[in-house]
Amino acid sequence: MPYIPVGFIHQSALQETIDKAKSVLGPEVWHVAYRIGEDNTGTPSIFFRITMQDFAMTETAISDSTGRVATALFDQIRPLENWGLRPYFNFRSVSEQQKRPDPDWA
Amino acid sequence: MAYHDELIAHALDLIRLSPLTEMHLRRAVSAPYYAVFHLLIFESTQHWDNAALRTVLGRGYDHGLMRSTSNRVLDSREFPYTNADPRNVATLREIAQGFSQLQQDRHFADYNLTQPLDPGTALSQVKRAEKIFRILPIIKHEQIMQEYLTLLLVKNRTA
Repeated sequence: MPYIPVGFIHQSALQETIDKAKSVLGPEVWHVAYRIGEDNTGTPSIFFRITMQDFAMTETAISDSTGRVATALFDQIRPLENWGLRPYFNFRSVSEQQKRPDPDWA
Repeated sequence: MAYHDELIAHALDLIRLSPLTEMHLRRAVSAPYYAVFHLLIFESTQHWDNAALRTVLGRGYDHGLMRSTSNRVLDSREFPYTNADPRNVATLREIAQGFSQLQQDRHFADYNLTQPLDPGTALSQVKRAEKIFRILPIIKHEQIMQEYLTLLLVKNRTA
């Protein structure tokens, strides 16, 4: 599969696409951050860092809520087809972000 | 109980421990990856007629190839699945993306000590794997799933 080198990604167009995708997410999503880099195999990737409201991160809710968000972002952005980037989705709660602020998630 | 079932149960036990230490969190991210890894190999080798040799065949699976296959099926240009039920395609892609994600996060959990792991992040990985265990049986007899399971063992050759 041909991959687009990270340096050739049109960052503002990607940002616009992500902003549009974020607008369709539900109220359980508090913030969506992302960065572009290589995964541990050296493949260009997009790493979403999604901060969720605490109620969406309980053991009973987390599977559905995070799955919904990842699917919505994947379908809207089409990271492989449109950007040549492998998608990764990580989640943490608002209280975790407040307890240990991490700029990668801000 | 199959080994992969034991592993996912172990991951769930780990994430429910109180208090949760950094070591528990990291093991809780690593265990579900291996649970899914062995589940996929188990399902993939079921068509090998000689049941006694399935575990031997299972030794032929490679983490890197399984990951690249998983990423390939996410790409609708290479795998458009035009005639497949879209619900099955979505389920297959959730499994494939989940496997790739779990492998990436296992790598972080096992090797990268520069940042601590959050309980929420670890819980989301365990539940992602648990979901794969729940949804894989729904589509395991579908042709697209059987194709994926086969491609986990077959290197992509362009010539």
